[in-house]
Amino acid sequence: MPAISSFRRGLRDGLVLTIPILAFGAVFGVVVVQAGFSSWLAVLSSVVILSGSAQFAMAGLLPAGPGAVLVSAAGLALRHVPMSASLSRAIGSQPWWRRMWLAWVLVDESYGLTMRAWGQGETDPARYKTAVDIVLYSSWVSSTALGAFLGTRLDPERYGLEVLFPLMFLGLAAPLVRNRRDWITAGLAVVTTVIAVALLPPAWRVTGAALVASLIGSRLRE
Amino acid sequence: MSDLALILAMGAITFASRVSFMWRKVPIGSGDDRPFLHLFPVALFISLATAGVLAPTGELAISSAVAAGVGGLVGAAVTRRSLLGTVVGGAVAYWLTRLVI
Repeated sequence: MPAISSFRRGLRDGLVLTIPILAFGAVFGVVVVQAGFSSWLAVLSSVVILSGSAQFAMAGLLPAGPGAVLVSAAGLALRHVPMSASLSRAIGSQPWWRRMWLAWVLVDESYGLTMRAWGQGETDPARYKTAVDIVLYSSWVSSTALGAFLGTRLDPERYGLEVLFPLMFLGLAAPLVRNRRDWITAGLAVVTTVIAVALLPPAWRVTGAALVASLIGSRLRE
Repeated sequence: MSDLALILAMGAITFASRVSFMWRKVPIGSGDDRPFLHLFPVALFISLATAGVLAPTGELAISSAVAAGVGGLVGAAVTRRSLLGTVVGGAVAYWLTRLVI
């Protein structure tokens, strides 16, 4: 498959994710301004941090002080380390500027789409992810600006938008589960997540559950 | 610490974790870590989905989101694991549950 097709496929697939991202970006803009940030700082946070979970945690923890915010950010960011390792395998050898860009926009959604496409035989995952990143980055920043400057009040629960993210992640996982070991790891991830929700602080739950499940799964035979 | 410094510090923490294995031109790692790196995306996405379905507010609870998860699984099975089929199946189940309850 030619490289231009990879870019177009990335744009097409990235568009599927824009509705929930636009909605949550706008909600984040409203929430963080209400928490005390100026509008331009709200937008800057989406430009610089580009992590919905970390940014919502920041908005919620601002009254607790910068220490609590940074510890929470570190816990949430930990999952990017194995994501970075597996993505580096998928994209192969690339120029430094492209690797920096791909790392800058290494978010759950673009990582998921890219690993899914790579697993399905995508020939140029780097170009594919670049296209997905452009769609997701522009959606997140522009919708944050909309929420921050216009004060648009969106209630995700009212429209059921809060279920779109878990469904999206379920849809991203589905094609990756192919053999017995994948199925067992998926089951383990459910169990470890339930335990983590009961025992761990929010910032460490998903990272801890995914690490434990994949470590145990990697000891099993296919 | 000012709000601007806080944002920059969070950006630095997040980017450091994202670039940790991307800074070298050649992928790092031996063959021993391949099973882990292959399985981590599966575990991560299932964990994110499970947390969103079983604990949408941060605490374990039975809600319409559980129906969305079941509907998503059915949608995935029916549409040969397509992303759109999973999302649509889950959203339909979610809205049907909200209408009934």
